[in-house]
Amino acid sequence: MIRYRPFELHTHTVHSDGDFTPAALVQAAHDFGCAGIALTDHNTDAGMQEIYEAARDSLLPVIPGIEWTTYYGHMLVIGCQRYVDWRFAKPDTIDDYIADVVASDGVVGIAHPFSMGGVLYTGGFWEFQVQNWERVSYVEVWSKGENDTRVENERALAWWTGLLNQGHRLALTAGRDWHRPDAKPRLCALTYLGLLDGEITPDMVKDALRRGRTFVTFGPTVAVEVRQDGRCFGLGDTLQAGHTQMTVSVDETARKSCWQQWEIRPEAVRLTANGTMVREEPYTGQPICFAFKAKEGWMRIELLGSHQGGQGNRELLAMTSPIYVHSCS
Amino acid sequence: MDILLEKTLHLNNKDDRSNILLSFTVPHDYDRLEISCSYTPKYITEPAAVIHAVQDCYERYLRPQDRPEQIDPAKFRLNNLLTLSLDREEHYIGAAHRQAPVQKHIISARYASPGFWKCPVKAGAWRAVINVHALAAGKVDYNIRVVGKGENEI
Repeated sequence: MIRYRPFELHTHTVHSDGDFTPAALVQAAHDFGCAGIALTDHNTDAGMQEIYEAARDSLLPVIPGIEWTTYYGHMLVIGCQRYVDWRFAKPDTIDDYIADVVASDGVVGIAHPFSMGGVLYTGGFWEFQVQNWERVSYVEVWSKGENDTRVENERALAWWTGLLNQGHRLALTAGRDWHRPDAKPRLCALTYLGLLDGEITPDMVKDALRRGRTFVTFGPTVAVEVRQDGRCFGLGDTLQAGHTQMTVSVDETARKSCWQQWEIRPEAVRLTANGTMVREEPYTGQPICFAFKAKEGWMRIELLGSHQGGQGNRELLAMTSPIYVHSCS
Repeated sequence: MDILLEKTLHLNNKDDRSNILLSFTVPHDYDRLEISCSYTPKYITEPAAVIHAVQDCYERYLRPQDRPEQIDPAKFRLNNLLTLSLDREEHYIGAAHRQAPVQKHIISARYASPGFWKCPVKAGAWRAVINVHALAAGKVDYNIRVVGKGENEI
């Protein structure tokens, strides 16, 4: 049984340039309704020493990770079993490094690909030339808080969509890039990971990222169930082209105390396939059913609506990783 | 107390986005290593240099429609960023990825400064690596001093 649980997958502590101690970060994530976090300090996983020493007292599972803070892009490496050296990666050699990480059981995600680079935000812009996308599991499409990085996130969404259109399989995540307690409240998204029931382990988290069982949201959760020829599919799965039924349920109760101040109101559920809107239905509080003929490629669900602090237009409130469609022919 | 490494590096724009490898030998076991490093200047304040650097970033990383029409150098606090990472016998011990231009670190079996794993200071081949993340303009002078100390040495 797969259950979607809220995670923060991009965090920093005093072990790099954050202000949180590991314990304070865990407390803050717990208060934000997280079921777990990945600790991804810049170029070190030394913060895990304190996590391991306090393991019995930890409020949350903490998955070891590193944000490779290179000169040509930032790459999130989750759960690598041995250290792979970040320092000598060049734009045209990144595939070798990614292969090394994956061979060491690590999961690779691209962090904030359209952040500023150069001296304004060292190495933040993704300049690496990935040739083999099969080894990259996800793209951090939503970075930081709403309104902090609106243009960067719009570019990241378009880029990720383009990669999906090229046939690559990539999950999406949201990363708060959380360094310190916020000076004032910020609307921030989380990543929900589809995990097997039971105690959360690093392997379960990595499996969810590799298989694309993720969605991101500023608040309400979305559950997507796809039926085809009597079989049931979920996010990250592959089904055949042809007649398909999809049911989308929105839950406005999960972690509500963490986001209700933003007056988030879902208004519509959209089915997007291969980069184009296929259907859109108004949200009424009831599950929404789409019956359609799936075409080869991919599809995802987007939840649209309004929130306080938005720019007046309908905003994306939540979005899923793709479900893939394979053509029999 | 033994000085195991002491260097002053004079870096320039050509060193931007590079690693400077400083190998040193630990001749026998110590209680701890104390590493002092510093660099100057930290900030770039000369208005023309700021405008040039910001313009370069905008052209490389922003779409034309997203680029501000004017750059006010007073609104930018550009800085150089050089960090230290450390290896022992080809094992990575960690990095101190922080902005402060003056830093002191301790490595020992009982304690390690934030960013580094605790590690006994064993005899062998060690390496300090200066990670030049951003050398925004002109020249930077970088100093590093690594000292090995025994248990009773302050």
